[in-house]
Amino acid sequence: MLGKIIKNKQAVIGLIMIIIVLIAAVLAPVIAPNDPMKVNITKKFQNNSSEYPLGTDQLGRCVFSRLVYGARYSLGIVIPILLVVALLSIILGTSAAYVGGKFDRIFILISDMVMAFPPLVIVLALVGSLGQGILNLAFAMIFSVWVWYAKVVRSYVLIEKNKDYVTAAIIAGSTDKDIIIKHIVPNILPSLIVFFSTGVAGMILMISGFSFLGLGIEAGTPEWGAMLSGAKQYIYSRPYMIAYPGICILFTAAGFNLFGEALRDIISP
Amino acid sequence: MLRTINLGRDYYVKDKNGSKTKVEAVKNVCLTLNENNSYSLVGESGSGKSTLAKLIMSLEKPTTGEIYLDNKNIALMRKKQLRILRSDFQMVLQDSYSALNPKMKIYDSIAEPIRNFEKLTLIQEKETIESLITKVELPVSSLKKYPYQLSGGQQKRVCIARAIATNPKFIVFDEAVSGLDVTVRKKILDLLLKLRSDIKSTYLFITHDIDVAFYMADNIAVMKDGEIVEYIKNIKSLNGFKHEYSRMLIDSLPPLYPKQRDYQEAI
Amino acid sequence: MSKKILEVENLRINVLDGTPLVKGVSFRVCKGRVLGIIGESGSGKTMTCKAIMQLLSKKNFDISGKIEFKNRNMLDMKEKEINKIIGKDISMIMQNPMTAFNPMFKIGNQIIETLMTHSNITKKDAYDIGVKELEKMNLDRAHEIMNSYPYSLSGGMLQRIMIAISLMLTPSVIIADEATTALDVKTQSLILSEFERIRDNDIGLIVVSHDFGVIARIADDVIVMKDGEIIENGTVYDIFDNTKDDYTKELLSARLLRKEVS
Repeated sequence: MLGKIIKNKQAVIGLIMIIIVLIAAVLAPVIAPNDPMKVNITKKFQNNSSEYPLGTDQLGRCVFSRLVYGARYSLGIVIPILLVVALLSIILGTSAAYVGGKFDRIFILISDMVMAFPPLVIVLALVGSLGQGILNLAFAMIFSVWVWYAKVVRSYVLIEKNKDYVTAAIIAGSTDKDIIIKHIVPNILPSLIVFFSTGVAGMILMISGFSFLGLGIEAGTPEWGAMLSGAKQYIYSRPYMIAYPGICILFTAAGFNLFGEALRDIISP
Repeated sequence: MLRTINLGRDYYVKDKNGSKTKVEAVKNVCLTLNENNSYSLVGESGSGKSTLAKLIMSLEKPTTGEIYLDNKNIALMRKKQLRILRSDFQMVLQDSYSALNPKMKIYDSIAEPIRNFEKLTLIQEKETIESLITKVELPVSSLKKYPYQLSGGQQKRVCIARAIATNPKFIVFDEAVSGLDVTVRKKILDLLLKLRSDIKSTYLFITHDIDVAFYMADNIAVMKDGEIVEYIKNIKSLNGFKHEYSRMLIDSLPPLYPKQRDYQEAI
Repeated sequence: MSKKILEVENLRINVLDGTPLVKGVSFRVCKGRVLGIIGESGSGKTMTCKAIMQLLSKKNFDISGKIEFKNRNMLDMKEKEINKIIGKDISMIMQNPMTAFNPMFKIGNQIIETLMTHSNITKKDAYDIGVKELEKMNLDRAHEIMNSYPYSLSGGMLQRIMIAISLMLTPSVIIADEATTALDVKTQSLILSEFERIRDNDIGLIVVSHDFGVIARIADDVIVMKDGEIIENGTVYDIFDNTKDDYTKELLSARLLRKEVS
């Protein structure tokens, strides 16, 4: 599979984009020339210089440094959320499909109820009642998106469950636990990895969208959505301020999307 | 050893209008399979023979009737009790490619039933598996391969190795050789005959091909629309069949020699 | 000797990287006779048929030799000319009838469409011809079949419809590639009887199979293929009674000998 990824141009481009963002996130303190939080009103709206590669914002903070740190925030929130969602949806989706019967019907009922509301509305309501904060936002996001993933997992398991090798495993005397862990999960995992990696892009957009709306993330945090929101009042005088974080979001989301789509092509030709 | 009494299985099929109609896939099947014997069950597609196989293997619960394995009614058993008994009755499925987990090496596929029923050390396990793969006439090197790297005939052999791994009392073969080239088919059938004299299991051979049924077993049952219409013990020749339906199946067989066809064309 | 319709001479098929699939195969198909091609999977028999049907793209395969139909080499023809012949004068019946039909359209529509692309007739006439041909194929309730979708019919039924469609275009050659392999014996026997009827209509028939039973039932001439080459050829009686070749003997011994039916 690794060989196929390297041969696929789209996958390589996507992967390079993801790696660039990852490097920025991990090595942010090394790459960023200035402290992203340091306010210096005397130096506001400076043009590009060797000290501030992309100039400064309305509070005199280094835009470039803020963008680099922004990668930390976007990925730092999305990846844990994704891991929790993946775990939750694999457990729930698999057991619903495998056990079937009443358990499955209850699962369908609950998930249909949650799916009736757009994730945005659920997050708005939850953050509104739980209060601000990154943890609350993460919780709200997990709550609003897990069903969509769990349902997909469920459908994959349903297909796999009826295959002959599962029947053969039952005949061979395997327990349900063994059948799920040794047979079903390894066979659906490649498709799930594809599905989740395309999901990353959507979540990055969601996080940025929420912080643009002022939800969850504290003011002043160098998060791309929040930066976008802060720059919107200067859209006519200094349009580049709004363009930089926009481009970053686009770049990251596109990277994951390209990679995910390419993986899908590789797995199901 | 295995006895079914009035075994029946109904399905409900929804038609266009949404109303349900009852389909009796298996009706009143009474079969007795004795130890160290060979049986064949012949029927066309849709005759209910695959459903019967699933019932006997307890993959599905019967609507009516009982199945006794050594005087234990397995039709009523819970999943857990049944699982422990599974080493006694095994099955080889029709499509061996899909019957093998594509992500598992052949070694692990064959090891699965052994690990489930026996506690062996790694060295003992390896010895057992290597002796099994030699029994089904495959090279030991194929243990390191994945299913897609084997040909259809080789995959079938792996499935057979899995089935005999626990020394079962009886093995069901559900259309186990259809879809194979005739030369491969012959080799597999001969292998199975050889193995049977070795492991002394009872075979139940389910097939649509009366030639295969006759080649593999001394006792043949013919199934039509969920019922057994004719059952012949110790059959010596295909002439033994008297039922109209059995005769029709035999008359449909392609001839062995071209000179026989003029006779068939006349029918 | 009856009249030849199709002649294949020294046909070679290579994958572009040089792997040979068919290594110089020659045979002829005659009017009203059945040519049986027997071999195991991978023997090149299906490739040979696909080459005759011009189904192999020149981008992936290197094809040389001669496929002569009505005294013209099809390998030299322009695509336009080939399209006129394939499907009409030479047609093929495939192993899996399920995939040969478009699941979205009714059988009737597919029959009408096929007829109308190959001849200038009205829709009404096409429908009537369709019904008539289905009836000839011993399919009762032809009108009902015309109005049903492929999924609601059995494999044997679809295969007979497939044959009916090929016959509607009055072809000179029909290739049946493992056409009965997926069917049970009763349906196989029915289809083989239909093949006998096709043969009696002065059509050249190629029956490809791995099963000597089918060959014994229907073929007049037989070629035995292995690894892309013809191992042996002759009339069906020659092959069954006097074969000298070890491979043919092996294939023959794969039949499950039953005690004779009186």
